[in-house]
Amino acid sequence: MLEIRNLVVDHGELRAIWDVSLDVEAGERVGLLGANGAGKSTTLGAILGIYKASGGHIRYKSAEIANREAVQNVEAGIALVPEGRQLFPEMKVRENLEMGAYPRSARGKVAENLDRIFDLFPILREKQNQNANELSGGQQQMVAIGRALMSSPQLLLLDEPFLGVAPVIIEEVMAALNRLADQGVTFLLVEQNIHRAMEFVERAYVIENGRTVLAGSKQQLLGDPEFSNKFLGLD
Amino acid sequence: MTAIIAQLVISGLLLGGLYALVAFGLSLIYGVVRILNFAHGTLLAIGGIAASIIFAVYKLNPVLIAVVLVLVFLVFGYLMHIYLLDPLKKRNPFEATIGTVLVTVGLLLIISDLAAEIAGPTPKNIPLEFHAYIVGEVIIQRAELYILGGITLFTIALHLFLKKTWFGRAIRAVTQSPLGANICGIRSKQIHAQTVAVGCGIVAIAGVLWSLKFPVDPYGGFDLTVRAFTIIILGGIGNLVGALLAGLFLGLAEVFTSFLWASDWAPAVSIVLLLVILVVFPRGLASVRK
Repeated sequence: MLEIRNLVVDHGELRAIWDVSLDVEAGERVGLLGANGAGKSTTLGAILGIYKASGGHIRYKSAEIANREAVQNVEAGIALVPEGRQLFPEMKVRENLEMGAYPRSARGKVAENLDRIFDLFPILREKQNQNANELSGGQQQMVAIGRALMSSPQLLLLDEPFLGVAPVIIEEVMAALNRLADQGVTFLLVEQNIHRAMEFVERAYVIENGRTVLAGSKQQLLGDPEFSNKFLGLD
Repeated sequence: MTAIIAQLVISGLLLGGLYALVAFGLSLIYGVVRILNFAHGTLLAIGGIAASIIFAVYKLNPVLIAVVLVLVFLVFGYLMHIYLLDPLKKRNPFEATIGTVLVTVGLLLIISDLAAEIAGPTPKNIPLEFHAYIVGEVIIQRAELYILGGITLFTIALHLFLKKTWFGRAIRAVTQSPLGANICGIRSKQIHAQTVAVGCGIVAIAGVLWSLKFPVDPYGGFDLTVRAFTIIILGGIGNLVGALLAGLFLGLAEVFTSFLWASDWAPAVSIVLLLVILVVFPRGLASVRK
């Protein structure tokens, strides 16, 4: 479904991504792991079209999408839940969700997708007429995920979805993500909390200094001493 | 005394409502594009002068004049963004800020001089036939009712546009989180140009309404821009209700200052308010409410 080869991304004169390659098959849950500043969020941004690729390829369903506009990629079935949520603080929860259906191709299913999101996160149905900035961190994360789902994505890019979220809410979000995975949504998850990430993903890539340095299934990585030493604090 | 106060309140609401219309456009543009358009008030003057000339020559209904001018100003605003403002964004932040001031102040000077050259330097307005209604001891002119009606209808229409349409919501979304808007598939560059166009369209309506009551001077626009800045700081950026309340407050404050003290002091009210707000509430009155 998604194929990235030798991706290079520059932020002005600073090179953020030097050489990232990865594959995600339809229906998979793949992790993108690494330390802060390794280039994980930039990789997700380049996939959606927020950042321009200076080199390499990003192919989605066999089509080259590097440097396409974000709107084209959203219409093609990719959605991003960004780090920090990036909600519209003074818009109602319902308005925030509806903005996820901004591309013309998504506007016909607004009511249907709203119902689906309210089923997934029932608290949002109650809070739909409150401003987003009046919600707790966990509830805001639900809105961010719900907003991404409003365009009926097939590939969902999640950037640090558990950051700043209370443990009890993390369980609720995790259950919702599992339900979405059962419905056939494909995931690429960026997460610094490796334990949490490994609960959810089937495979993962590790990025260091803008380069892919390690890849494997969950079992392979957990059995890899280098991975355990670096990320799980085990000797 | 009650009649005098009522008369002053009507005048204040009229003036404040027109100030709010000027501020709506400026606030939308600043909220989305983050550019302070110093020529904004001058565009009102140009709209008012153009409306006066069209009325004098063709005797068109002011509503029709407003429709024509809105279309012209929409195109002007769109082109202004594409050719004058957008290229500045490619510069570093310092150059972009200075460049914005130079470009918009330069535009203000050029269009003021052009208007004075073409239409003459004397103030102009639409001389509607005088007709007044007397309620008790209060006199209300028909033109004043038209202006108040126009302000009310337009404010409601703009509110509905921003709340209910995809385009209006996209403007609010880009104002509140440009990155969040991009993630939703909103083309920010397109929204920027369209918002500058809408901001200019709004000021065209304000110009027509203004010229129904007050003469418009080609060099009088900058004072209006300063008042609009004050209103935005008072009411909060991108906050339509806040801008309306702040505009009405400023209008009432100026009218009562003129009555109680001297009309020469009325323009100073906005400057004094601006200074007080900046010193006491550096993040605006909207932040205090929150």
